[in-house]
Amino acid sequence: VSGAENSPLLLTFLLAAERYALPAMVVREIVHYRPPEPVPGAPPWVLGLITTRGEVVPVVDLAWVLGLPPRPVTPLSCLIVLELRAQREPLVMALLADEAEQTLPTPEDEPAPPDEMLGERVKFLRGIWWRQFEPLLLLDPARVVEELTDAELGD
Amino acid sequence: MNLDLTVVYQQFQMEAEEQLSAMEEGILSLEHHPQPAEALQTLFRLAHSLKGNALMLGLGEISQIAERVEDVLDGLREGRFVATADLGEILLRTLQSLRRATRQVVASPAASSPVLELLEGQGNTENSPQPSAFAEPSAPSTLRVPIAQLDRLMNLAGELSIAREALAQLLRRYQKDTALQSLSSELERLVSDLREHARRVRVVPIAPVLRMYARVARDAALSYGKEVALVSAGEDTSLDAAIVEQLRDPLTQMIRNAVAHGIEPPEERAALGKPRQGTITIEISRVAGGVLISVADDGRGFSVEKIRARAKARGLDAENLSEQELLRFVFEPGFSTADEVTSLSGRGVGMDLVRDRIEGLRGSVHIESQQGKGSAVTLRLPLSLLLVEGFLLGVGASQYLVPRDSVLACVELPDALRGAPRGTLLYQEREVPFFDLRGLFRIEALPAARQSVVLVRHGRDAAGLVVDGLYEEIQGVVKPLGPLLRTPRWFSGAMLLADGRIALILEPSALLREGLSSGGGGR
Repeated sequence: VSGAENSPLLLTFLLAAERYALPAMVVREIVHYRPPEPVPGAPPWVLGLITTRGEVVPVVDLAWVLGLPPRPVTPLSCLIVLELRAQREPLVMALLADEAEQTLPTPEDEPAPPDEMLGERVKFLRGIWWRQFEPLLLLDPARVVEELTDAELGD
Repeated sequence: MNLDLTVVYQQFQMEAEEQLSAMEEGILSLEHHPQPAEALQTLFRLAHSLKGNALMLGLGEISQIAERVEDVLDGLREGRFVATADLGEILLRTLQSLRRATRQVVASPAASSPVLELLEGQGNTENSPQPSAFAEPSAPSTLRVPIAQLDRLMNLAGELSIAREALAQLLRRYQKDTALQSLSSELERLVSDLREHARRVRVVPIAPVLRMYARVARDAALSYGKEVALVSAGEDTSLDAAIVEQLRDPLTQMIRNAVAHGIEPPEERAALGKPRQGTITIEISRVAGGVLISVADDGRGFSVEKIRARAKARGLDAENLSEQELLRFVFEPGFSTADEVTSLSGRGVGMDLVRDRIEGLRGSVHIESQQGKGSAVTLRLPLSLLLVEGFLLGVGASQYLVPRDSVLACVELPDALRGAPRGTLLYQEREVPFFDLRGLFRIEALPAARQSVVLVRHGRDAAGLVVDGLYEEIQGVVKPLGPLLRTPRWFSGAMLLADGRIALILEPSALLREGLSSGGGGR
């Protein structure tokens, strides 16, 4: 039991040809992409609203947040529904990703600190693991929420 | 007095417990940031509410201590005191004794309060707490359920009816199977029963709450040396429990304001030819899709010139503002027109609390005043926080809901005006401004062949929202949009439609503020 606690699961997904990881604990579900209902006047990183399990959930354009070019929608596109807390209130949001991959135990080695080469993304990353010369970027969803709820107006 | 106050005291205790915990947390955070104005404001409001609740129950000493805490917080806010760790410690100890006092609901809380000592420079009061003036609360005969659980129940009932509707639509394809059909109708009946019951569980009569305000008015009258009668009308109205709960502070504040600033002293009234006793009327009435609660007094009314002077003193350009515009300042934080700080109100914390609370409930506040004759503060509230009734309308490819409460009428847009971004049209022999929602919403699609105008309340007047289609009147569960969509303020939530689509719920006052402004279109 303590081993499981020590290595919580990660969910990996692809975005703009790079591999990201999220703590699986905050992931509520992964659903196929469906066109979100647009919200006029919303900040540019809100793509719209979807419903899941009777709730209305905002879809966040993760690529926009990370400063990446807009992602085309493909049959593999998915929405990763996260449940977090913002200012003590539960917050549910969906991230648009190119493809959800798998869950895996958190690697035992400490991730390297994210380096400057990654640009503005750095502040949303908790670290990087290198696997066969490919980076696995550990996303900090709480930082994303903090940034998005702090920004009074996205533009 | 044979009134059973047990329930009232339990409620006071529960609330005090929450207020004290929140204050403790706030004070602890004060130690880390020496000047957090907002945290102080919150602390001040909490102390203010605690004081008010204690006063309402006649717990004089709890309210006194709460008032001293308020004084210290006021001192911190104005820079007369410095937030040192020592002061924090004293405040925390004071809260601790307040907590003990509220738990026992004894008449005499913590005789030697550190705050009292600090302020009075002497610490020689050595009373032992008096025995409780009230019997120990007995086991409650009813169940206390957190409102959040009722919310959940209501939400599920709402979802269930949407799922049922979808099922019914599927079943229509198999029309031959009469057994399935009748099962579906049976289900429909059950679901709507469930929903109605879930709604009714949350609805409580307003009468017992109103009775409590007689005491608020009486106590306030005593401490200001006024003579006041409280009259209430529409007591048989029932309201959503969450709304009633949230109304307690604002109504208390409104009544105290009326006594303190509205009603004149008896001699002055006599000299003016008014009866010595002033009258405060609380009136509750149901209107389409909502409820109106007004607190009116026959006192001196708001002094518009005093408000103007105060606004100017704060560096605002108030010379050419109308009476209605000036009255709006009453809701600004720290904007009190009272000449003195009194024990009950007049610190300018009152009306901003009222407005914030009411707008948080999807409601609005409106003041009317006639100098020398009296004033009325009217709250307009939805019947339920969770349910919304309204008209489904279409703009471009999207559907929106406009709450019924705000709609005056729906008319067809004259052909000549079709496609116009904004303009005026004649409604009941008045020129009414309108704008096309597609402009504000930046919807590219061409306007429909026939457009409609939804005429909504705009203060005392009307204004029009041009839409592409008007559909049926529906009822649904309000889904909050959450912290990621705090802007724009054009929508108060969303709801699920039977076909699984989402309709945003329009917030007409916010839409009109932006849509009618000459800049238009943009944000």
